[in-house]
Amino acid sequence: MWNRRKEEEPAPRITSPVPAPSDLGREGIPMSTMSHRESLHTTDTHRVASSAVIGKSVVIKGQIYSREDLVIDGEVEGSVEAHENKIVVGPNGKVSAGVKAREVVVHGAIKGNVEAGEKIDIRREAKLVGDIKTQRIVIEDGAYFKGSVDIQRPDAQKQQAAAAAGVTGARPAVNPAATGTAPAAATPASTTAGGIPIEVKK
Amino acid sequence: MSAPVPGSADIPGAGRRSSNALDQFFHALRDRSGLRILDLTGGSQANIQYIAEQGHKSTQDGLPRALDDCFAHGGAGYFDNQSDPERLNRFGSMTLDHEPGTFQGVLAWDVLQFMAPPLLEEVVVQLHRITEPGGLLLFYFHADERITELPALNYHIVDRRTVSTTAQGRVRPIRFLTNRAIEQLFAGFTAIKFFVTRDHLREVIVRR
Repeated sequence: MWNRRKEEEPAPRITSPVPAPSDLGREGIPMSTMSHRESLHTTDTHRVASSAVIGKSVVIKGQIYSREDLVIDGEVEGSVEAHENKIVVGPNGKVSAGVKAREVVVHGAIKGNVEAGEKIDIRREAKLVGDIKTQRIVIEDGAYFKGSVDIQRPDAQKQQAAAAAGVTGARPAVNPAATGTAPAAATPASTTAGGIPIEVKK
Repeated sequence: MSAPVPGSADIPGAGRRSSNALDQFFHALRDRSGLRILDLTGGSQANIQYIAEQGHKSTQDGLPRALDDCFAHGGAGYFDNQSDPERLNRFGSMTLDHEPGTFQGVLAWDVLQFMAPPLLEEVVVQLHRITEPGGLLLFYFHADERITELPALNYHIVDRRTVSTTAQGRVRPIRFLTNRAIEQLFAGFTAIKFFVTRDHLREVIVRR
């Protein structure tokens, strides 16, 4: 029943080179086959009015780089990156890919790791299987999420960026929970009033 | 499985409650940071936030959802379906498929009461496998024998001593476990500690 996890499947081969940013800038290919207003919650609708939209009948295999907000209501397999922008996975969206963006909103399904620089918002009907790195996370009751969460503090991110840029003297983030407390093992043999633990030691 | 969902005031264990076991669980981990804590609720923002504030990393695993997806529909019934090899294989692919010794703490809440043998024993074996030696596991057990079914409950950490509970739609049958049955279930663990509470929810901390 619980066999070892299958080896990670190799990432889909990319058949086309990654477009240069200048190419993205002049890209004029319409991606929408639907009105994104018809399937997204009203709270997102006004925000994505100027977004690129992958409609629900569209299937994309490969890498997507976006320099504008992106709504995915179709199927995407590969990777999706919109570092400075927002990605919304609509209710019909199925993403089997790593996702990197400034902000990610999930109504549909994601299977893959998500890096959201600022925030990820997992809505009630969403299903997300993968690990998350972000500064802020919102999960509505009823959403399904399986994976680990790495909450990144803004100062830690700056330090990482500084370290990556070769700046010396960046200090690691201080963990406020790890300061000045004496070791306290959960002594299994203890019995206390109030909590009234009753111990059965093996 | 189609019983109406009672109001939260009628649901045993629902609402906001004080939890001494939760307090002790985090007290035991307080001098360490960067621990990996597994939360079987499967997506509680409050729990993720609280665990992060303690300096730890949380992993969410929606075991209750996997139970519903694999055993609630069709077949011979919720508990009988838990003996169906095909359903069990699917369940095993959905949950608790972590590497051995990954976690230093597990918040399992009340999930064990929604399982019957042999699944129950197998899940305990898997929890033992994925928990580091010395790691702690927190369980709740509904102690009222008259309760035969409950809606799915999500447990949210409010603070170190307080948990709030929200009911999700699906009602599942539950199995009552005596203290002796709980002890036997965790016979392979180092220690088990019961906390007597004022309501009908027993709290248990188990050390791997």
